[in-house]
Amino acid sequence: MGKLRSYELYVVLRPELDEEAIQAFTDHLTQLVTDHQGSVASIQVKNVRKLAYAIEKTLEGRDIILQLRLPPGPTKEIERLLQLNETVLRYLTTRIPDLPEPEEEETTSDDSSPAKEIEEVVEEEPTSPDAPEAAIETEAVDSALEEPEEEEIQQ
Amino acid sequence: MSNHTRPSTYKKKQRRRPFRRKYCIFCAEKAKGIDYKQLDLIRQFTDDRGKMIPRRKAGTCAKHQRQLALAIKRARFLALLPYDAEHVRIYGR
Repeated sequence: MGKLRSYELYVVLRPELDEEAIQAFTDHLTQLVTDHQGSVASIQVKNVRKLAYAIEKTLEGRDIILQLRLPPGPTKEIERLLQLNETVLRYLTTRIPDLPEPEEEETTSDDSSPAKEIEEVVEEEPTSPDAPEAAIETEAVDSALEEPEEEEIQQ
Repeated sequence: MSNHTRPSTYKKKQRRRPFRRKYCIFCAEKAKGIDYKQLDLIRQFTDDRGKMIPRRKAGTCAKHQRQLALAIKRARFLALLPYDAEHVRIYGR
C-alpha cells in the first residue's frame, strides 16, 4: 500500500435532495473510501446555496466537503463514480496539507461503520426558510431551554 | 551657429502625483496558501464583471498571483464565483 495522501473532495449536489438521500450519499462515499484503504477525516454538509450560474438548469446547490486520506490511485475511481451519479452537479478533488493520522483505526479492521464527524454548518443567512437543519437546531435549543424550567417547577 | 536651446517645457518642474507603492498583501500577511473557499478574500481580486484583476493593478507578487488565479478558477468551476459578466447580470454577483 502506498503512502496515504490527504485530499479534499468538494461536491455540489442537487438542492432537492432530502436529508436521508444526503446521508445515503455520504455513507456511500465513506464506504468507497474505506474500500480503497482510505479514511474520512471529516464531512461538512452545508446549506443549500445559490449558484453563481446555472448548472444543468439548476440555480441552487448543496455543498458537501469531505477531507480524505487515500492512496494516490483511487481518486480517479471515486471521480469516475461521481461523474456517473446524476445527483452530483460538480465535484473537485484537491490535495491538501497532510491530515493527522487517525488513531486506533488501522488496528481494528471490523465491518463497523468508520468513525466520522458530520458537521452541520449552518450559514448566517439560510436561503430556504424551511431548511431542515435549522428546524433540528431550533428543536434542540427549545428542549435545552425547557429542561431547567421543569426542574424548577418540581422543586 | 547651432541653436540648441531646450524647449521651455523641459525646464518646468514636472508635476507628479503622490505615488503610493503597491505591495502584495499575501506576502505582507505571510499567507501560506490561498484557498478557493475563502470567497470574501478572492472576490476582492475580481472586478464587477467577474474578471480577475491583473497584477499591475492589484499589486500581488507573481507567486501569489498564480495561487490566486488557481483559487479563482477552482471557485468558478464550483459555481462559487461567476465566469462571465452575463452570469453576473442574470444571477448576481
